[in-house]
Amino acid sequence: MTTLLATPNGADPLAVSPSPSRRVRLAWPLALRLIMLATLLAVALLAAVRLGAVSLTTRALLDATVGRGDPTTVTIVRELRLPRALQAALVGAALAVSGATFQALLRNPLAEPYILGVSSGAAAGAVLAVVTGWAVRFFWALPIAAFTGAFMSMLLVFRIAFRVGRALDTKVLLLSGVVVSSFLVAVIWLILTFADTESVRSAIFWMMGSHAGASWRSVAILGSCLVPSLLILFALARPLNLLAIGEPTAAYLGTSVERTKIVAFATATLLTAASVSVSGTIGFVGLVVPHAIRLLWGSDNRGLLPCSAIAGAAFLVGADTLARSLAGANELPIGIVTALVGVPCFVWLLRRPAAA
Amino acid sequence: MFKGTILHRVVRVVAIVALLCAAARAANAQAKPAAAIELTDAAGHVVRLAKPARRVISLIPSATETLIALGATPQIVGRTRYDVAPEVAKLPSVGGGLDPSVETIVSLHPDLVIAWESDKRQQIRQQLIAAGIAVFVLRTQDTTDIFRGMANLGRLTGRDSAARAVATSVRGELEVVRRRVAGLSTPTVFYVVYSDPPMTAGPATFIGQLLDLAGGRSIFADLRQNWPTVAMEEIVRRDPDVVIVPVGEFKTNTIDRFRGLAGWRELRAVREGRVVTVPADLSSRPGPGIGEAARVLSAAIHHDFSARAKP
Amino acid sequence: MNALWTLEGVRYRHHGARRAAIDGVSLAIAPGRITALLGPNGAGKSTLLQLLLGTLAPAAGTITFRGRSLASWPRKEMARTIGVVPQGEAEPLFSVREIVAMGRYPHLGAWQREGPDDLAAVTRAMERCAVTEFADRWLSTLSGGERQRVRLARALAQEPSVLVLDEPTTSLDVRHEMTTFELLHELCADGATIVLATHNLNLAARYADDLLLLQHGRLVAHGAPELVVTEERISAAYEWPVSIVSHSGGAPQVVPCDSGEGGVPPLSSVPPVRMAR
Repeated sequence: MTTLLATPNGADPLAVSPSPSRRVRLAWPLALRLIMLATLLAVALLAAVRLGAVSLTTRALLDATVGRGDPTTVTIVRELRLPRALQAALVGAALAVSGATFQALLRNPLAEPYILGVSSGAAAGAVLAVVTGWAVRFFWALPIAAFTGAFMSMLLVFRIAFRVGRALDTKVLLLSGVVVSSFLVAVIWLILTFADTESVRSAIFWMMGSHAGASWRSVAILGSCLVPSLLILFALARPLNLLAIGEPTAAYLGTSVERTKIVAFATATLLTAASVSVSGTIGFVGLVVPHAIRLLWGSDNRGLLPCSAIAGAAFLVGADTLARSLAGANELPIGIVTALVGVPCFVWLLRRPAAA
Repeated sequence: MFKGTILHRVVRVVAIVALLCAAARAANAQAKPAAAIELTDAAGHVVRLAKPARRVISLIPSATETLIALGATPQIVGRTRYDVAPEVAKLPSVGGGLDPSVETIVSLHPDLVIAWESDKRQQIRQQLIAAGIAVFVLRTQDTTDIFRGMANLGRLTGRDSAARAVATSVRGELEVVRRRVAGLSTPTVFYVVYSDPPMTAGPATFIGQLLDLAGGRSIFADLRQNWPTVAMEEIVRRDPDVVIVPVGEFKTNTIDRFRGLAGWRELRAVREGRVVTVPADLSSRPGPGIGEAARVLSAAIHHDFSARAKP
Repeated sequence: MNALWTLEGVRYRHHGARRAAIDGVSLAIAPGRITALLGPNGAGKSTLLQLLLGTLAPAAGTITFRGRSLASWPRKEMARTIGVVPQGEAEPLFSVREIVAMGRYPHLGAWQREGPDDLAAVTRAMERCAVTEFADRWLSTLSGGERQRVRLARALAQEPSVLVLDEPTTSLDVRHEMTTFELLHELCADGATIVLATHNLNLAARYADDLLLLQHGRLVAHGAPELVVTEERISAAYEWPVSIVSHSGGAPQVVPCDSGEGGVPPLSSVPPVRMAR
């Protein structure tokens, strides 16, 4: 029941750091917080569509959105930038909510969407699709293989955890996640050792993460996966609050613990698997965005989950825009941008001076 | 009387409609001429162009070289960051060959993009096709691919005669090299694509074929992979007479470097100073420069090592 | 008498343990009274509480709650009836008010917002436990004892008819320990049933109506404090010599002796005492 980094009196280490004030600050009502974050997201989306390797004026942008003007600009805006911005938003929301859910379920502040081997499973599936050449013959083979790999690794992790204890013990789950992840990473490198150079290059590009392959179809499929999953997790906000405190306590307060855990784990894994299969492994979002929201407004999942979703979306859209436009036609891998930009922001948030 | 009028009217209407349909079909048939250029690319896709491409972007540096050699430089509108030829240096860059910025490509309004066969993710091709840009996938593995590529690029850009001329010229250069080494001995050769871990060119690659043509025998001619990574022990066991190292602009003292590396210094060729450098650009581009590359390689393989001042 | 909980021959062994944690326990817990669970460390007090609350299922025997089999009670209905104050929990960043408000979750649907009744219950619970001044502070900024009071407030916010507490006063100072026991006494007078596990033999003897004494997973005594708290019985159960003095209110008080004085009789020599069912 204690967190992995338990301090002697069992408190959350993030809370005993010097900065969060003794009073809950920014006690804004939820509606106000959501509106503020949604505005941030809107600004990020606007910037995403406006900026890029090819610069556009706002006027040209608006024309292109409705289909007027130079057909090339219309193609760039409607077929390249818009789907990409939307995919980044959906993936950012998915990863942030999934991260917050895992942090509650595993009662561990270091938990993040890939902690149960999901990213290694997805990468193994993707590498297999690339090396065997299926990805060339059938375009959707790669995302499907990544998704399958992600889900199968989750099942393996759960199978191992079930064997060791009778119920889903979170400590065993964490350990089996680490173990399965390491095993799959070794498998990936084994496959790559015997693969040809081009496959290795393509596989590594995939693993670095990118939204460059976004299309309206991938956005539609992702959206149809994400929206119901997000709704399920929002509905589980109260049980997740209780599970974050402890499983016995959750049971005493009326939660069917095992059922809630299975539904929440499966849904969060689905969110992560869907995101990884379209955009590769993008780290940092799922770990840090929920913590940032927590430092502002606390751990209550009824506010944390929707706020994390919108904040994660805005964050990833912003990072993707930066990745695209910082180096001209050369794109930076988005995982680098999320870390380089996100870490200083997060450190600033952690060190904010305590209010009176 | 009344019935007759209606019947006549109906017949007239039907006749007019039938005539219109026939005319439409005829017009349709006429409006769809056979595509002027129709080629099957290396990935098996049929690429159709109504007329030769006026605005081409090549993601493969060797294909860019080929286009320049065909005189199609005015038709090139963009380059990758790896295209260092001076003719295209001033063109806008679209990023890497395997991870270009699709947006930049689209903004340059190309009507043809030359893409890598070895892109296993196929993401670029999908997006360009969706944006209405023709994509021709080029294979650049062996010399047959190179000549076929020359011919295809010539057809795609409407420079068939230039393509034939360049191909003839390159074949001529290769023939000259082959004849020159005909009577000479065939030293065993190890071509170092990469030194750590050691990687070499297999027999089915253009480098492997050029080595063979230039009068050398690759010690790994029995391997089936294209770019095999080989064990140092195996290189020592097969004991090449000559080691050929492609180097870039940084001309480090290669022989001294290899003498310092474990494993490499065990090679007889390294100990005796039989290590030759060749310019990397020339020998690793599967394009119109292979004639020159064959010449350089044959000089390297049959280099008179006894003339060296120090081993 | 209408018992609240009835246990018959209940056995439970933890996964991988050699010895049974609860070994053939049969008892009945009466409603409207304070029942205190006593026993040395490892006697099985917490296990027994978890069996009573249904979070552990017995390997043998039956447990009924309010006449129905415990296993047939839905979780949410039990949560509306029984308020639990556990011994320790993880503490993510929640404010005190949010923690106490969790007591209302069993009364709310998934998308339902708290109504005025819920908010009033929360406020009342916080006032009763004297934590209103901390309402907007993060839980982790409070001391151990204050946190325990917040958890008690959460249990009260459930507006339960039964309150189960697992060592509620272990980290509390004298003042807060006394106020807690007096609060429990008040709640019982208002009609609630209280079951608590505690190490504080003396306060248990003063405030509880029934005492349950466990040792090695077996029930060795069950009855009024005067009957259960005797020198031989307590010395045997806790394996330490004690002497008994009398409190001004009449409850027996335990005074531990030095290790040299007095002997520890073996438990088998002490006659068991049982409540009449």
